Amino acid sequence: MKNIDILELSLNSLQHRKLRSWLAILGIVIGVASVISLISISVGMNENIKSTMSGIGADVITIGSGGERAGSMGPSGFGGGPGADGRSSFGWTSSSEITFNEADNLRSVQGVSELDARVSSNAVVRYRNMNKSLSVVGVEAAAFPKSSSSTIAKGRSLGEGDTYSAVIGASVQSDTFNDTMLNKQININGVSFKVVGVLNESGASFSGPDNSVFIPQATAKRLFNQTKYVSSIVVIAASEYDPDLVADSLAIKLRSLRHVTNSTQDFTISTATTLQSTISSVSDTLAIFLGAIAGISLIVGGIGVANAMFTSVLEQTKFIGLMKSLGARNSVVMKLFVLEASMVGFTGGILGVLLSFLGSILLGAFGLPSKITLELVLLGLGFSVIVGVISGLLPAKNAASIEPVEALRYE
Amino acid sequence: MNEQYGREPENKNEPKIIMRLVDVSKIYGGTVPFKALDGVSIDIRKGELISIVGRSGSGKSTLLNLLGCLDKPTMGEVYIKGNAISKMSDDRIADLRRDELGFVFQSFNLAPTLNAKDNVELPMAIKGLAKKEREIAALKTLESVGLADKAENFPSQLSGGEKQRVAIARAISNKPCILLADEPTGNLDTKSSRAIIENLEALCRDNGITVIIVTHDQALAEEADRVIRITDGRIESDVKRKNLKKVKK
Repeated sequence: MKNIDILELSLNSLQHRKLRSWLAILGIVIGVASVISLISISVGMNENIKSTMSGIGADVITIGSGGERAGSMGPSGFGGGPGADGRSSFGWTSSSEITFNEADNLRSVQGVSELDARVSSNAVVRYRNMNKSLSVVGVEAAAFPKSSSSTIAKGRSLGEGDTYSAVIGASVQSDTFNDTMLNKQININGVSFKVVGVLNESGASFSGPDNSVFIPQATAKRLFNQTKYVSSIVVIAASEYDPDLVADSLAIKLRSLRHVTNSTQDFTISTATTLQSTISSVSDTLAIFLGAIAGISLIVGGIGVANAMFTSVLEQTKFIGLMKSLGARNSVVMKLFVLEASMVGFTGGILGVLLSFLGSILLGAFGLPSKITLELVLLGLGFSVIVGVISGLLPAKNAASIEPVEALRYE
Repeated sequence: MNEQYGREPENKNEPKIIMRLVDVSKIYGGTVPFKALDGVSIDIRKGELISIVGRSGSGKSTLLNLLGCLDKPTMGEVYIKGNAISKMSDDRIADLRRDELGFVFQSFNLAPTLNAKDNVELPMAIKGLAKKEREIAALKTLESVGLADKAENFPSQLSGGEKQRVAIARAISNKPCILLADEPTGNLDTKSSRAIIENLEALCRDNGITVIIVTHDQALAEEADRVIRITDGRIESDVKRKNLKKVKK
């Protein structure tokens, strides 16, 4: 029997069992849509993180105190403010803090182009009649244009001669105080500062530069009464050096300065590459977790198809007997039911893909990043057909093995 | 007169044997095994119109199933055109059913989701014939059983007699040499039964097809050239009622 004729018979069977066929298809639709949607969320998140990370710059190296601490969250893109190194909120008490002396010693490491030893703290910022608690970061004026993940949108950057000047993040102007603040006065912990520049939006998360106020390092030291320890160090690697190698050199130097070994290291040092791989591994784990959850629903859908196929075989037992009495080989009967199941899987796959596109739009509307790639579509379709075929195999094998005389007697 | 089974005809003018059962028994398993057929041997010649009669449970349908290769004997051997069924693979037996045998069932067994034409096309589709070729042949066959105008009707839109004529058209669509009919008039009224009997007779007379009918219908049984009576799984009598028609060997 020609495959096209077997296909026609399978289609005919599905058409005459519409409700059951659609219910089986629905199971696959939900399974495939879940798989694609959930994985697309992790793909979207990954893309989002990558695009945010691209703003950090590949040449940026961040050093923070503490072993496996939040300092690894990175430079100004993530850690322009005090929340980023996880320290300021809890005070300045740890003996494992990195000192300004140590920071100065790192400037001589080969491959270091700029070094920005930062002092940061949360402070009450007053503008007109509004008081807001914001992250205030003391930066080195010379290094700041490069160590900041945002460029100047209006005004200028901090200069060497500045004392009570401030550069504010985009959100400080647009959201926190909602006013044009360039050249206006702000008050930090009772000290007056002039806003000389406003940064572009970085798009980084809550603790990024968008919500921070940047002032000269020397002023910050006095303001926060912190002259010994840095909050974090942002190093810019020279363009002719590999940032990862520079980071290694910095780590070696700092370990020797602090008399610690690799295993007792009490600071973290990270580059864009290490950050990216850390985040990627987290998002990959998330993708596997979400995929596994979605996979379960696809398996449940597959069981639905198998159930529908078993019922279909039972319903068509007499027809199987007839086909065999007319000379159909076992392989033809088998193909008939496997094709029927694959069509259920394939139709479910197509509809599931369409539903996942709809779901992606909805997720986007709720602010959840999701991205459906061609690979995901193919994975969904392939998976649905495979689930259909596997679900149909056993019922089809059963159908093919029925003796014609028994099948014809079936009521 | 009973034939001597398992032997080639002595009279060379007799049609050749196309089906032979040698000492065939069929035992159904279960807690109490049941012997449905017990040492049956029959020779069936080309062009014969044979009726198999007997009480319910006598083993006549079992015999027909064995002749049609729908079932396998527990003991003994079935030969079709000289080939022993027990030595054939499942696929070869399926091919044999497709190419040499046609079936007509008491309950018609038409596929309810296919119209009359598609039902008749089904054996040809299984054989692998092209769609166009099948369509032409199916319409021609339906015409031969007087149902050309019902080609597009689904089984639910046909009367019992019409359904059985579609089933006959389907059974002969691949031009088999043996047609096996299990109580073909069992579900029909007298008028429809008459039409079916005439169809089967015509197939035998005009096309040289060997027709084997299991029946309770006395009228149908009397039309046969040869009547085999089965009692308790054994052949009670095997009587030729008319001289065998002269058909090509």
